Amino acid sequence: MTALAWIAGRETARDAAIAAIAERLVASANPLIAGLATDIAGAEAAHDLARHVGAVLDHRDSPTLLADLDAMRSHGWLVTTPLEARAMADCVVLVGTAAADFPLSPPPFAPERARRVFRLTDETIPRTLGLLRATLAGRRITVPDDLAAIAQALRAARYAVIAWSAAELPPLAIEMLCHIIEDLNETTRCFGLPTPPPGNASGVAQALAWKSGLPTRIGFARGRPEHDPWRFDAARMIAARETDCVLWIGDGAPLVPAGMFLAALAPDDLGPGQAEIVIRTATPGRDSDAILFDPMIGALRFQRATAPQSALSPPAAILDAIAARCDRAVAAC
Amino acid sequence: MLTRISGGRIIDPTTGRDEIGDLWIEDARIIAPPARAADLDCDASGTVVLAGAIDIHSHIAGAHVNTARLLLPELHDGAMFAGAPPGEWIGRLFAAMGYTTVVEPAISPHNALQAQRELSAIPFIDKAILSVLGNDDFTLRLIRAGETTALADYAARTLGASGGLGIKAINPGGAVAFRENARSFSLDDEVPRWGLSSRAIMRALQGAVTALGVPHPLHLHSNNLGLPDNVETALATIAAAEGERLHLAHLQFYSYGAEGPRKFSSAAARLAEAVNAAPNISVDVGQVMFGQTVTVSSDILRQFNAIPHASPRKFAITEAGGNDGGIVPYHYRRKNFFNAVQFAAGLELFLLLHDPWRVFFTTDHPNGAPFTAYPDLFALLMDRDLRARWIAELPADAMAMTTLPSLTREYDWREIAIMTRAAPARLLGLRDRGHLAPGARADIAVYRPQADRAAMFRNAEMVFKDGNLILRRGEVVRRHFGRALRIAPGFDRAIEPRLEAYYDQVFGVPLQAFDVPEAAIARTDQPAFESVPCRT
Ligand SMILES: [Zn+2]
Repeated sequence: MTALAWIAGRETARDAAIAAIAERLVASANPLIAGLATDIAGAEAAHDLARHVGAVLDHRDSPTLLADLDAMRSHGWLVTTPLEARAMADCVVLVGTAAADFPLSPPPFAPERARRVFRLTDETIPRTLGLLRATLAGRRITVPDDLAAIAQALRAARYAVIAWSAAELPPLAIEMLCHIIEDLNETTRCFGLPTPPPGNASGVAQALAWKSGLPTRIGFARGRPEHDPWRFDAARMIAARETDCVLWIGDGAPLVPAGMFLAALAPDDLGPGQAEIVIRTATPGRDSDAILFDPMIGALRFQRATAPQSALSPPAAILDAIAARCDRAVAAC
Repeated sequence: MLTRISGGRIIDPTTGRDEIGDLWIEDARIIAPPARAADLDCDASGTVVLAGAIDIHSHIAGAHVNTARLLLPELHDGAMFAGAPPGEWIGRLFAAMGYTTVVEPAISPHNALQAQRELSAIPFIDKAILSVLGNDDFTLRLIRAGETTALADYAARTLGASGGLGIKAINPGGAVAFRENARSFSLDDEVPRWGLSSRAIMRALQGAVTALGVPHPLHLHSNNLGLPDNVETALATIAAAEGERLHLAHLQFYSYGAEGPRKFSSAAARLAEAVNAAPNISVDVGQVMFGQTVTVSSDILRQFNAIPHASPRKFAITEAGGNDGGIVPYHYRRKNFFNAVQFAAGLELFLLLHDPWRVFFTTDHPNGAPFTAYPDLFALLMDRDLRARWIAELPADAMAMTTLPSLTREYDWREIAIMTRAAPARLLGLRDRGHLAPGARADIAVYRPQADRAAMFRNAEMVFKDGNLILRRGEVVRRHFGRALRIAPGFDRAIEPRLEAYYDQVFGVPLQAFDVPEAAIARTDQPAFESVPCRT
C-alpha cells in the first residue's frame, strides 16, 4: 500500500497526521490556510475549517483573481462568457499573449457575418489602450495603422468581444478596457472576456463568496469574515512571520521560515519532506468526483473521476476530518 | 419521536381549521392525535400556529447572486448585507421568520450546477429553482419552427438536467434583442433576426408547461419592467394569456402610469382590477421597501438601462445568450418621489387584490427589498394605523399619485396563512406542504402575538422543519438541512441527440457539461432531491 501521510519525513498513519494538524491549528494564534488549488467541496471545507479555528484564507492565484475583481467592483464591467463569445462575436480583440485564440469561422448565431480576430501585443499596453480609447471617442490623433484598424473594426462590429488575461496586464489596462467596452455600448455591443486563472481559482472564489460573502483573502480571527487584500496576503504574512502555522492545500507549497509550522494536503506529485506534515490527497476530478470551474463553459461543472482512486481521500474529506479533530482539541482544554 | 405542540391557535386555511388545539408530529410528518403520550411537549399557549411559510420568488443563489456578493464587499461584513447575504445567513434568517421553503426563481440551464450547489449549502430550509427559458437560441429555433412537442421535450429535459421545479421566462426575446443592440423591447416587438414576438414566446412556453403537467404555471417576468406607463404592457400581457394559467412575477414593477406633473404615477388600482377579473392569473407583488439593496436580474436590457441609477455607482453585466445577468446596486429612498410611488403601488396591489390564493408575498428579494424587510411588510398589511404613520413620512406629491392613503383593508391571520402557506403550496404543486393536516410535512411556524408585529414575524417563537425544532426566537436549536424540490416530467428522449449535436456545433462543448447529477449536491445524511409529482 502506498504511503498517505508523513510527519517530519517519516511515514505515519493518516489519522495521526490529521490529529497533529488539528492540534497545531487550535494552538496557533493566527493560523493561515492557503494554496487552495482545490475543488468546490475542498473550498467549502477550507472555509468551514478557517471559520472554526479563526484562520486566514488565501488562494494561490489571488493576485490575478483580484485584478479582475477590482476592475468590476471599483467601477463595473460588461462581460460575456466563452460560449456566447464563440457563438456570437463578429469581432474579437485579444489583448496580450495569454488570451486564448479564436476560430475565424463565422459566429453560429449570426452565420452571415464574418468574424474578424485581432491580437494586440506590445510593450506599452496601457498607453496603446489609451490611444485606442481616444480614437474610438473620435479624437483626431495619429495612431499606428493596426490600431486604427482595430478601432474601425470595433466600431463597425455588431457584437465585439475583447479578451484579456489579468495575469499579464497591469490594473490600469483592465480598467481602460472596461471603459472602452462601456463606451462602445452606447452605439453597438461589445463585451469583455476575462481569462480565468488556473487551478480552479474562479471556482474557489465562487464557493468562498457563497459561504462567506467574500472572494479570497478572508480573515476569521474576529469571528466574522473580513476581507483585506493586503493584510490577508499569504505570501506577505509568511514573509512577515505574522503566522506561525500554515496549512497549504494543493500543489505549490511554499518554503517557510524556520520555526514556522507547515502542513500540506498535496496531490500525489508532491513528495514528502517539503513540509513538516504532508497528507497525500486525491486530485479532484481525476482521482475523485469533483465540481470545478470549467474555463471552456465559463461555469462550474461536475467532473466524474477520470481514474477513480478510492485509497486517496479528496481534500474536503481531510479538511472535514481536521475540523472534527479541532472540535475535540477545543473541547479538551 | 412523538412531539406535541400544545395549546396554540392553529390556523390552517386548507382544512378550514382555526381553533385552539394541539398539533402532533411523528418523525417528519404531522399525524392525527394518537393515544400515546408525547416524548416532547412544546407549550404553544398564547401563540398562533401555522404551516411553515413558502417563498415563491427570492433570488438567493446562482452565479448572478454570487456576483452581487463579489461586487459589493463594502456593504457586507460576511453576515448582514441583507441584499445578498451568504448562504448560511439566508437559511438562518428565513427560518427565523418561519419560512421553511424558498424558491430561487431565475436559474438558466447553463448555471444550474452552481445554483444547486449553493442551495445545498443553505441550512434549515428546503429550496427549489425555476429554470429560465425564452431567450436561449434553441428555444427560439423550436418556436420559430412550430415544433410544439419538441419544445415541451426540451423544457422537460432542461427541468430534469437542472433539477428545476418550474419554468420561468424573463422578458422573453428581450435579451436577444439587447444583444442585437435594441434599447427597448415590448410585448409585440419583433425579436431581431427571428420574426417572433415576446407574446409568441410566452404563449409557446405556456403551452409547453401545460403539456408537461408542471404544476407551477409559466412564471413570467414581463417586458418593460420599471418604466412609466408600463401598466399597458401588464394589461396586454394578461389579455395575451387568453385564459391560460400564467404567473406574473413582481407585478408592482409593472403597475406604473404616466400621469401627473412628473409623468409617473401608480396604476396599481387599474391593474388589480384586471387581475381580479382574470382567474387564470396569479401574481407576486415584489414590494419595494426603503433602504440599500442590490438589483439582480437576468433582464439584461432593463439592467443595462439601470446603470446610470446605480448606487453605489458600479455594476456587473454579463451577456450570455439567455443566461444573462445584470447586477446594479440601488438605494430606495423615502424622500424620493419615484421610490415612494413604487412603495405605494405595491401596497395597493396587496390591498386591492381580492383573492389571497392568487397573490403572493414577495419583495422580489433583493430587487424591491431584501427579504429581511418581510416583517415590516407583514406589519404594514395587518395594521392600517401603522400604514398611515409610514404614509405620513412620504412625499405628499407621490401619495397623490396613488390610492394608498384611502385603503383601509387589514390582512387577518387567515389571509396571511393563505398567501404565504396554503396558496404557494398549491401553486407549486407541493401537496404535503403549506397545510397542517395529518400526512403533511411537519414544517411549522409558531408566532407569539405582540404589539410589535414586525418583531413577532422577525423571530418566530418556534420553527419546526421536518418535525425538528430548529429555531426558537431566532436562536438555533438544531442545525438541519433541507432538500431541493424538483419535478421530472417524462419526455421523448429523441430530443437529446438533437440537443447534443446542437451543443457540439454551436458551443463546441458536450450538452452534459451543464447537468446536475445528484452526486454533485449529495449530502451524506439524506437525499439531495425530493421529487414533486406532475399534474395528472
Ligand atoms: Zn425576480
